[in-house]
Amino acid sequence: MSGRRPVNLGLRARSSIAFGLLALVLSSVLAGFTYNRSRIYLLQQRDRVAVAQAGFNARLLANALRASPEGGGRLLASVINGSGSQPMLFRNNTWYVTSANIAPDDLPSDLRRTAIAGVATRQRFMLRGQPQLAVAVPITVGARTPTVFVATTPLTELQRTLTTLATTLAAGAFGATIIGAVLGLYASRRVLRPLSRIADTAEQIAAGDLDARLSGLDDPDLTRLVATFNAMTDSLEERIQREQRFASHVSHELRSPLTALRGAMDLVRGRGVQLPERAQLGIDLLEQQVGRFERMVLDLLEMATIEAGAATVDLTSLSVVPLLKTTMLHVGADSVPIDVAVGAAEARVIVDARRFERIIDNLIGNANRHAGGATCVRIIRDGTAHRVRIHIDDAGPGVAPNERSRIFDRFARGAQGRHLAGAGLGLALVKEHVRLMRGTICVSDSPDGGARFTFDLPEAEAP
Amino acid sequence: MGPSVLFVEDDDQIRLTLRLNLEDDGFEVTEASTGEEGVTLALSTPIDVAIVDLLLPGIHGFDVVRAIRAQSKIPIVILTAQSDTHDVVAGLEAGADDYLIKPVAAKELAARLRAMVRRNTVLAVADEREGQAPVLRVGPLVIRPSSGDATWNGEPLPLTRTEFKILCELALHADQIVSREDLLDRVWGYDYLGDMRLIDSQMYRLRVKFEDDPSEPRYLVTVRGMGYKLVP
Repeated sequence: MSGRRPVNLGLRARSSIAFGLLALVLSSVLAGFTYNRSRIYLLQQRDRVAVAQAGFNARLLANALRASPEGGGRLLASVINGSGSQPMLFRNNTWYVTSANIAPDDLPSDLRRTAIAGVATRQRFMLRGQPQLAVAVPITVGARTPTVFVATTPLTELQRTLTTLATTLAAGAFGATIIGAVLGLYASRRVLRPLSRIADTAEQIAAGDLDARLSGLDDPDLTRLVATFNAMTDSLEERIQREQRFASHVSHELRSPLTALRGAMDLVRGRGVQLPERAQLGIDLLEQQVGRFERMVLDLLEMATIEAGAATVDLTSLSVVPLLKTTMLHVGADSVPIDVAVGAAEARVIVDARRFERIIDNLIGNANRHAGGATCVRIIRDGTAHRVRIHIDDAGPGVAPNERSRIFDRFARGAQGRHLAGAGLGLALVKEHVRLMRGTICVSDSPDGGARFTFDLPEAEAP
Repeated sequence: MGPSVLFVEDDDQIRLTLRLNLEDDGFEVTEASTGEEGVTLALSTPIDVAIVDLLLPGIHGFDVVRAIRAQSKIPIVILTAQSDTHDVVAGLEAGADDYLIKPVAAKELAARLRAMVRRNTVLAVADEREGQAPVLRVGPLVIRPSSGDATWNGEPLPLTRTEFKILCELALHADQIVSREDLLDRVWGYDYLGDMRLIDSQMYRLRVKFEDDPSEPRYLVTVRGMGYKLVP
């Protein structure tokens, strides 16, 4: 008992089982009662008929015996006819029989003893598997020894009727059980329907459709639930919209000075003005810090968008090799060799090109900062899993096994700040971008001696 | 004299720094600090290309784009502070040809603007054949690349420069599939690999101009997963 885990059945299953059991109990009781009453009534009726018939035949026989006292068996055959019963006569300590189907020994001994003692009696008994009813009637024809008339009637017909009745009742009970179970299922479904509507609406909202509301549930018992649910959704929508507006303002407010800053920086660079050495040093520092600041602000804004659930993913099917080549060119890493594995040259991926570029930019930048640059980028097609994997290898110090899952956390830093100095959000964002494109990312050891960052993307079907 | 740019931007310092950068890159810059001013200037002065910031005081950038587009074929590049919102798509649908996200590197801005005002490849091919003006015919469409006009069933077809370039590319490869990557490369002429929003909005606007039912195109057909095809 204690070792058994309770089976967790759903509301619908439980209601169905309860209705089914109730129907089974009710219909079984009813069927049992009906069967018993019917059986008693039918048997009594059969007894009455048999007794009346035997009494009548006994009187006929008594009259015949009075006329010819030595009649015996022949008299029995001539007097008793029809009625389907097997007659027997006991007279002068002898049994007379007309049929070979039954012998006096077949009669129950109790019945014989009672009958010979001169008492009218009747008894049901089994003969070769068939139920029989024997009726014994003493006859008084002035003899010294008792004279008894016994009529045995087979009850096969009655038995068959009772069997049919029992079968019918059992079938009825079974049917009622099934109907009960179905009724239970139906009733619970009716009761649960509003709940599943609520679940559907909640799912819609979770999937981003903030306009979804509960409607069409005009059941007065549910009015309060519907009102509460919709009010909750309203406030949720309002909050999300407020946050999105805020994020949009913040984004604008941060990007505007960045744009001017970047423009001013480009202006100084573009002019190629010759400045005194110390001023040039200042400009270089300024440029580096502007770049770092810009990256941090953009990363924060991107992370905020993703966390707010407002990220839109622009998936298209693209050929992976040209995509990677163009992207490497964009991020200024076109000098890193690209190794295309056998079978990957024609592979297409389902990808958001902008997010793909952010991933490559971050991973290449990471390798530049901490490992002296990437040594190779490899493309591998996994045909069975329908995925395309991209490895970015470096020959730097690598990532210790115990840091491998942590480095994708935001603002995580490796031991001695080695792997993530100044990066902060970079790898966390990379992980988010990969996730948004239904891919995975991990870090392992590179054959070139350093770290290997691997991410995969779903393969697009060939057009 | 370099190409002339109209720069509609309300932030004085952004306008100043980008103007100076563009001037260094050989552009001639006309500034507008409001949308209303921008529309007036775009329609009254000869301009090669317009840059429109989306978040403007007064009329919104979308309306500026729509107002310019209603009367002019010039390429329009929108500047937006967000990459991830519907702003980009809405701006392209309003009639812009390209977009840039702030902060923008001066070199990239210049490269994009040059790509926008560059003459299309078909016209270059015509020039190589020394004065022969080829006429491209695909079904009811007739394009004269040298004069830059197109007709549909004999009626003049009003096209923006970007739309004209797209139709030229498709007509040059009539009844063949042109991939979206190739179209991006040849029409926008810069590494736009993967940015399908640019193409999709242009295709929609082209279909509206000559298809009987733009949602069930008969001539400008999308070949799913492959690209586009101009069917005679």
